[in-house]
Amino acid sequence: MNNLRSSVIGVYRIVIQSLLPSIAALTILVVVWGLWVGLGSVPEYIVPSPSAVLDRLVGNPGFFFYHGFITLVEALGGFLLGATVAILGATVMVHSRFVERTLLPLALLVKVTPIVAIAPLFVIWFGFGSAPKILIAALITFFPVMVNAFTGFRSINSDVLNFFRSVSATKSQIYFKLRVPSSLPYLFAAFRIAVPLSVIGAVVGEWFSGDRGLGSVIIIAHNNLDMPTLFSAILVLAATGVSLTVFVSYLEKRLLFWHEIGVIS
Amino acid sequence: MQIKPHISVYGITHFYRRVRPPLFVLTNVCFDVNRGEFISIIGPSGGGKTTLLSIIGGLQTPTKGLVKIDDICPKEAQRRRLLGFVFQDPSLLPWRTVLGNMSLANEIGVSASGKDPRDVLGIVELEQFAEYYPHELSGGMRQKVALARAFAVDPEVLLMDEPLGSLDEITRSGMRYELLRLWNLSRKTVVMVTHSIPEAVILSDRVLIMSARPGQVVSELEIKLPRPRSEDIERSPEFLDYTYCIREALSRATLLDSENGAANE
Repeated sequence: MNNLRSSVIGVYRIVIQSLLPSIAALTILVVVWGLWVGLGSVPEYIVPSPSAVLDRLVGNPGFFFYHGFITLVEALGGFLLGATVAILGATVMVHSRFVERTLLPLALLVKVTPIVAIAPLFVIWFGFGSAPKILIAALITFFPVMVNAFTGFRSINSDVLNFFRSVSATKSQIYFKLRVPSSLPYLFAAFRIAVPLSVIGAVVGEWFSGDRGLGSVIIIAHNNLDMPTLFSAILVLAATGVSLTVFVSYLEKRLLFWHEIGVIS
Repeated sequence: MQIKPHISVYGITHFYRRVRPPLFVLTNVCFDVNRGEFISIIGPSGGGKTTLLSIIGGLQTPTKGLVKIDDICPKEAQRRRLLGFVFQDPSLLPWRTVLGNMSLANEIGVSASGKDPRDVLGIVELEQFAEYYPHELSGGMRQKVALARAFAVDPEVLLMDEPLGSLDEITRSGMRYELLRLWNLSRKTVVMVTHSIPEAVILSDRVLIMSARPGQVVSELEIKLPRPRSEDIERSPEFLDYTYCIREALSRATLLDSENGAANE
C-alpha cells in the first residue's frame, strides 16, 4: 500500500517536473502558431494552420505510418550497420597501432566530407531501393561511434589493467571483461548523437531517389506546395527522433546504473 | 645454514631513454626477501618505488638487473599465478558486484586454485555485502574488497602499492590491523610501498628506506616487535624508537639527495 502510494507519487513527480514544462512549451508554441496563421497575416501555402496539419495527419494515418516506417527501418538499418562496422574497426584499432594510423585518417576523410555531397553518388551506385539510404545512414553513423568506441576502449583504468595483467589475462579477456564494459558510457554518448543522425541520413537519401519514405513525401509535397503534408511529415520525423532518443536514454539508464556515481571506484 | 630467499632483487637500474639526458629512476637496487616476510619500502615520492614494485611483479622490464622469485623470472611467476597485486586505487569493476569482482581472477585463470571468494569475504566481515555494487560501499569497504580479492587469488607473493593510501586517517589506522589479520592467516611474502612511517613499523618485519630519484636502498631496519601485533604496540617505547629511526634515515636520504643535486649543478 505504502509502496503503491510512493510509486504513484514518483510518477506524479516525473509528470510535474519533466513532462509538464515541455508540454506547456509545446502548447504555447502551437497556440502562437495557430494565432499567427489565424489572424490572417500568413497565406496557407507558406504556413498552414495547426488544424490543417492535424486534419492531414488524422485523415490519412496509414499513409504517414507506411512512409514513416520505411524511413525508420532505413535509418535503424543504417545505424546498426554503421555502428557495427565502427565498433569492429575500433576493436582492431585499439589492438594495432598500424591499423589505427591507417584507419583514422580515412575515417576523418569520411567525417569532413558533407554527406549531402556523397548522397547522389550512392544513388547512382546502389539504385533506387533502400540500399543507398541505408548506406548513407550507416556512413553518417560511422564516425561518431568509431571515435567514441576507440576512446572508450582505451579509457580503462591503469590499475585495473595491471590487475588483469597480474593474473595473466589474455587480450580477449581484457577486451570482453574490461574494455567493452568500460566503453559503454562512451558508446551511449555516441548513440545519442548517431541515432538522430541516421534519420537525417535516411531522409537525405530519400530526397535523391525513390518514392517511398518521409524524405520523398517531403520532396513531392514541396513540389506541389502541399504545406499540410509537408508539415505533417516533418512532425512525424520529429516525433520519431524524440522517441528514438528517449529509447536510447532508457537503455542507457538500465545498462549504466553503475556509471553516474563514477566509472572507477 | 643460509635460508634461500623467496625474492631476490639483483642490481636493478632503470632509466627512461626517451628524454635527454636519460631520466634515471632506479640505480643498482639490491635486496632479498625471505619466504613469509613482510617488507615495506618507504621513501620520498618520485623515488621510483612504484616502478620497482612493477618490475618485481613483471609488469615492467628493468633497463638492467634481474629479479628472481623462487628462481623463476617475474613474468613466469605471473603466468603461474604466484603473484598478487593491491593498488592504491581499489580498482574494482563498477559493473560487477562485490562477489563478481572477487571471482574475476578465477574466471580469468584456467585453474581455479584460489580460495572460495565467499570465505575470504567472511574473513573481512563483508559477506552480507556480496551482492552490492562498489558504488554502494564506502571507500574503506571497497579497499577491503580489493585486499580480500588479492588474498582470494591465494598467491605466494603479494605486492602492494600504498594499499591504504587512498583512505582517510581514521579508516586507515583500523585497516592496518585488518590487513595484518588477513596476512596473519596465510603469512604470504609481502612487499609493500608506503608513505606512512607508523604503517611500515606496524606491519613489517623489515623496512627498506629509499632515496629520492634516482632511487636506491640507502638503509634498512629490522622491526623486532613481537607478533601477532595489536593496537597496543603503538604505545610501546620500541615503536617510537623505530619510527624515530626511520624518520632520521629518511631525512638523511633526502639530505644526501640535495647534496648530490648541488654537486651535479
